[in-house]
Amino acid sequence: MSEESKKWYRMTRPLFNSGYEDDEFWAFGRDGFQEQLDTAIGSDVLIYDKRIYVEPQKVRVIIQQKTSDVYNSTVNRQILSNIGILKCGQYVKYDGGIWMVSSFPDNNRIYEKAVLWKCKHSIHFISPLTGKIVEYPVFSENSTQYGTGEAEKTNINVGEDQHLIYIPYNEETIMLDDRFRFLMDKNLGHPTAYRITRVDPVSYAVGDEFWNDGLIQWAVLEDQFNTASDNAELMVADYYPKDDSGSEETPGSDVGMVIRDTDGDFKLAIGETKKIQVQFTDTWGRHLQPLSYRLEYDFGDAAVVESDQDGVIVIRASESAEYVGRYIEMRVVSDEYGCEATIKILIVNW
Amino acid sequence: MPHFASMIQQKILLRKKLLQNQAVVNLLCNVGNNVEEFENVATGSKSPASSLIKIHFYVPGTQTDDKNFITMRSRVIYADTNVIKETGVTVYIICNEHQIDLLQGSRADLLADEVDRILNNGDDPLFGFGGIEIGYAEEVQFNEGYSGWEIPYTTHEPNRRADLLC
Repeated sequence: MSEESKKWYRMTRPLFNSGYEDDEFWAFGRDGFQEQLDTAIGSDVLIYDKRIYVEPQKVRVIIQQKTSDVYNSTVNRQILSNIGILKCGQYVKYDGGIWMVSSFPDNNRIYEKAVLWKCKHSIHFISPLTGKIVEYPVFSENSTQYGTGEAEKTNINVGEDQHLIYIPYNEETIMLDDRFRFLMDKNLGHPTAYRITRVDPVSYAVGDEFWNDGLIQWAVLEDQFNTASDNAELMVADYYPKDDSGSEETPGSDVGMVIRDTDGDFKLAIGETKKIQVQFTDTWGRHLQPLSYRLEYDFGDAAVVESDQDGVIVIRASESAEYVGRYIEMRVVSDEYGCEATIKILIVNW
Repeated sequence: MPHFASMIQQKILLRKKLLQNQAVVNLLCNVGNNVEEFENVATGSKSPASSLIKIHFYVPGTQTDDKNFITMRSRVIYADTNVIKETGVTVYIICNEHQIDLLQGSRADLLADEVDRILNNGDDPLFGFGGIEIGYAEEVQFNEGYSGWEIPYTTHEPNRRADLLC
């Protein structure tokens, strides 16, 4: 028996036609498409669900509309796949490039179809969910139109480039709100920073029944690269925490001490008070009572300790502006538990 | 040549008084339209209104979020002697037009009234020799979406050579 005969013999579909077109459609439509996928016009792609650091799904698809004379069309494609695979906001890795499912996929009962946008750039940021650096390829359009990209201010001209950025919706990206900054540039030595001025999670959503799908559109405005806080090497904005003063603890063998500024900013305005809380914890993190400690400090005339009761120390700064910009330091020592902590506070103006 | 220490202190003092004033921080931070239903926002240097009161000449751009501001601008009006100079601090009350209309009147008017109570106070002037005077004031429109008041105050402060007299 020839190979052709074997294939024919093994076909799962009916060998005899009913004569009704609708029956033919249901019987052979999807199989026919699968046969197309298996030919040279099909491609193997990887589909990532809304982020590229998850395990992808390998799928056979047809990518079409590949050539165009118009730039905007050269970064768009159509993707055809078996039904039930595509979702708006997925990433598709095809031929080494990352694309984004930008439209609401639907099917004609034979195959599923959606539009892909080429992700032109990847942005990196510290995840508000995990605190780790994550990468998201994005689609972007320059919305400055024919402006110069500069805004004239009173004394200097600053960059005012505007873009529309499209990023998949998920529980991580929805947390990025107005004023969030990121770096986006091919000049890695002196990258340009942008900040979000508008978050639109609605216009590119695909309905409540597909709540977890869709895109978020950001309007972003050029911002200034900050060498103190932005990391050009990692291309992550606001990477370095601000160099505030703070507290430093030296635990004992069994007991630790925590000293906390209840405002959390380690700054004290002239004439104002600040509460500092002292707590002891055991190795399991449980709070210990009673509190037994002594204070060591030399504020000069810059501040005074107004009270010290039940582990809450109240410090009042002098009304005099001459101490603005100076640090005051207080050391809390527990001789009993053999631990200590130091807090450093900056005197600031109103 | 006038020295500027007095003007530095003027603006910081005014900012401090504004941040300590419950009505002012409430009007700056609450976004509802009924003062009676405003929540009492924290006063003091840690007040959320802190970023809305600026001791420099600032006018929000058109892309700034919906917020209200009080900003300041200093100038030396007149310095004909080495001892006394006449200085001015212009207070700008900048309200977002989406939030300006309150049931009790214009948010900008209410803020202007509070500022005037603090500065235009002959019995106990916040700074300067012999009180703080208000010359004129007018409602102005700032960038698109913002309007409010421009209120110039004048006062007399020591000039540079006045230090030698003390």
